[in-house]
Amino acid sequence: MKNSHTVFTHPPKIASQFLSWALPDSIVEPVLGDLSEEYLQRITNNKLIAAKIWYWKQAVRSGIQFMFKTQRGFVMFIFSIFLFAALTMLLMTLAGNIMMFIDISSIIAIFPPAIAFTYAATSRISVNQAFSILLNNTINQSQKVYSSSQRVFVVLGNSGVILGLFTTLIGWTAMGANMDDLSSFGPAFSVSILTLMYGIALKMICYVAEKKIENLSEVES
Amino acid sequence: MASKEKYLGEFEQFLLLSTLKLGDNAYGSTIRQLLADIIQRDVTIGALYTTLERLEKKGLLESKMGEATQERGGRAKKYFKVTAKGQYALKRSKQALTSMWENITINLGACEQ
Repeated sequence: MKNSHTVFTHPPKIASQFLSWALPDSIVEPVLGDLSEEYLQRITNNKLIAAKIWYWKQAVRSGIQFMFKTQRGFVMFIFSIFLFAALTMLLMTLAGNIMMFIDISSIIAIFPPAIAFTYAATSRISVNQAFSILLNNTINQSQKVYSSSQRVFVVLGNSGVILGLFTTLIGWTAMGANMDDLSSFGPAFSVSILTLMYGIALKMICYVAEKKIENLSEVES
Repeated sequence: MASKEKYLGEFEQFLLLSTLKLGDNAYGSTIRQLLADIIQRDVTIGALYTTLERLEKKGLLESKMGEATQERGGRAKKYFKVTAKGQYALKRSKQALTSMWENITINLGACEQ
């Protein structure tokens, strides 16, 4: 039988990862160590669920306190994306029905091919590095890594716009071929232009991501 | 002439006093537990380290990394020690409070009812 006093029980992994991400490097080790120690003490008192809740509370409160200092760039990036999404949804709602801006086939026509083109034009390592730099606000990278990461977002954004234009032209060609039925012109035009809208939205987000990495590289140099 | 040097805040005093009380065993977890036991203050580890780091930057505390143990998941402790400057700042804050309390009488009758 296992003795709970001698076996190290790992604290909630996601909470620990969040703390590691949010805390300054100088205190990650002592803080996580202190929390692990106290977590184990609470578990040995046969209060596993209470210990987990306590750990999560400590991690979330402490993490939020530090993330606005250590991950300011990332927090601002996410905030700007949310703001953009909220304003876009508000405009869509004001225009009538938000569902007329959502078309699954148009989403499939833009996003998966744009991501595939990005992997094809750059590399899996470059894509991983680009998102890692963006999400972790990493600044200790070489200029070569920054350049390849910027290129990832340039390719992703541009692929979105070009795919949007291309698929819109396909839609217009199809509409032109069926011009005799003018009653379907409006809905067909609306759907055909959606792909371009998605492509431009993707380009806008990628533009911000690219500029953020450019800024990080300038801070480093 | 008035001194421009500021007095310590309440939480700063609590942390310095906890560190003094714990002696060679003063690190994040023990300080946190001491505060909970003595003054019933349950602080987050983040708030604790924010103030400890600030006190260290002011030169009132010094720290050193200690041993890593199994119950800490192999992570090292960060021990804190109050410097001479820290002890002086504590004494000065205490004297200021004592001076301010002189000739003060508080009637707690209304509160106790």
